[in-house]
Amino acid sequence: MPNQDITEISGVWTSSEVTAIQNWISSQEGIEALDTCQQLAKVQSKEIVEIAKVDASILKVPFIFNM
Amino acid sequence: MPYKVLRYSIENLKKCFIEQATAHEEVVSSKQHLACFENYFSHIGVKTIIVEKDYVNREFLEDYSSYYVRSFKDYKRHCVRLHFFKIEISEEDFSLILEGTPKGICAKNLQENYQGFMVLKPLPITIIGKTCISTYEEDNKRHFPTIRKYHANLYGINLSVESLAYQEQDSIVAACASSSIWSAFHRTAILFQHSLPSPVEITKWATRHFPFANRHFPNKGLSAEQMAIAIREIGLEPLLSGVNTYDTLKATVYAYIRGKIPIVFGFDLWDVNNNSSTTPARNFGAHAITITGFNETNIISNKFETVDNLTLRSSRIDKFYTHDDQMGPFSKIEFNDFEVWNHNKGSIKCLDMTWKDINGNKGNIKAGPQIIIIPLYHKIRIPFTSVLTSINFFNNLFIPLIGRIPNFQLFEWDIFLSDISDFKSDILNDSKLESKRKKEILLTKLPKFIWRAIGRIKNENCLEFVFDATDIDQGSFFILTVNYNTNVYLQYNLLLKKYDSKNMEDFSAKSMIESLQ
Repeated sequence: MPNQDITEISGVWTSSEVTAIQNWISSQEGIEALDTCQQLAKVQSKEIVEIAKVDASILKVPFIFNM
Repeated sequence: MPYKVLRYSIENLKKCFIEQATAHEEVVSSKQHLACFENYFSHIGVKTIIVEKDYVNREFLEDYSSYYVRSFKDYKRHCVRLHFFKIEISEEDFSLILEGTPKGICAKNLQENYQGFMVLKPLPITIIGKTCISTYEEDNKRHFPTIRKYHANLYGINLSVESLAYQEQDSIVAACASSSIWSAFHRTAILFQHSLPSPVEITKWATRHFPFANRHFPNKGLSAEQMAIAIREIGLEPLLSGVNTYDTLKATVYAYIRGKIPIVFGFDLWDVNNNSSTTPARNFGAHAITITGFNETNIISNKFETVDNLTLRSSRIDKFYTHDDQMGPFSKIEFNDFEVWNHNKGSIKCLDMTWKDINGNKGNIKAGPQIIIIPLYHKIRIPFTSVLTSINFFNNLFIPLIGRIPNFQLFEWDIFLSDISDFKSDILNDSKLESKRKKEILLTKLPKFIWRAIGRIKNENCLEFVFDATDIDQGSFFILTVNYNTNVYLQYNLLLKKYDSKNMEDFSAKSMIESLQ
């Protein structure tokens, strides 16, 4: 996809909406909001990995069931 | 006569079991498997059983030569193989086919209506040997990515069925753990090119490094550690993952099972008869089964674990199909939010099983997830969690925009392992991809195993990120972007155009962003 200057997306965003979106993203409020979400993602990454960790005590439990 | 043609009925199947088993009729009739087969065979429409007597089964022969042959009692070494068909076949029809003068039903009809086979071992009770039965019909909901083709030759008639081999534990050379690994190996042997060990070999490998443990044969079970050793012995790497919660269990199983890898699932068994905060549930052991497929619904959650706004396709799963050696092939375990209460462990979110309790009632036996063991080719180095965290970094960037801008919504992520051939076939057959880009992707050199993360909106693929599953877990393992929907691509291009990703901590997420700028 060529890297073109987008002024509108037909049927999705008008040119004034595009301008407003771009303005918000480069505003101080936008930058801070995105940074906050990245910090949150960092914390969540640790949680995701932690949840999937295997408790060492489970490794020794025999799976033995037989009716 | 070396064969018998029977009209299918559960009574006739029971008779076959009783004739083969040496235990008392009542013991054989009480096997839970019969109820499972009755339900399953009526679903797949079995009408006829052809009994092939004196059948030599490689798997049983190896178990026999390793153990049973040295018994004082004279155990037989030949098995019986039952073939199932979804058309009515008479003794005369089959006889005429063998004489080469078919009238009405011919060999082609047998091939077209073949529903699989079941080997019955000459043992007292645990007689169900290698069983390959066709699956429930696959549709948009039921998926069986782990099945493969099995061939059978019935007196010169070539038959085939798409399935995954199943057998019950004999509690002598193999317990549930060995049986579940044996089923998983039946798929990984094709995927990763390794030999197919019998249950007795799996048990021997698993226990080799535990000389001080209790006796290995008769085998009463394996620990997760021992199962991991058996997997390593075949040349694969065991990936062990904790799955105490629904979300992690669904997402991890989905990610690997879509890559055609069957998964060994270990769990606690709970009997919840009269369970309440004052009457704790009774734990009666740990069990291992093989997850072979899944069912998905239209219900979707926009949350993964503690992560809000991360929507995964895997959260649509409401049940797994499993090879449970105590129940049968493709038996269901369901996510019904049932919480078991126990003094030691508190509240445990369990899955519903179709087992009957000691009183013969269904609905009281629950599975408390513990661990999954995934047999992986050693070059699949990047784990699912690494891809998930990169996707979450990317997804999080757009959370502040929800509700702030019109016609924009976050993706539902479809994350799974794939090999290069399946990926390129999907690309070739996709009608929405721009032709130039399609050709470019098809001609791109890619690693054998990849992770695919497809961003979907309303069940339509919009944007895909492809990752190198064979890379090392440092730096970026992102490879390329596939754009299925131009408007969505333009939206992301516009939103990310001025974003400065230099401080992004996740290198793969950083590369994903740069691919869209």
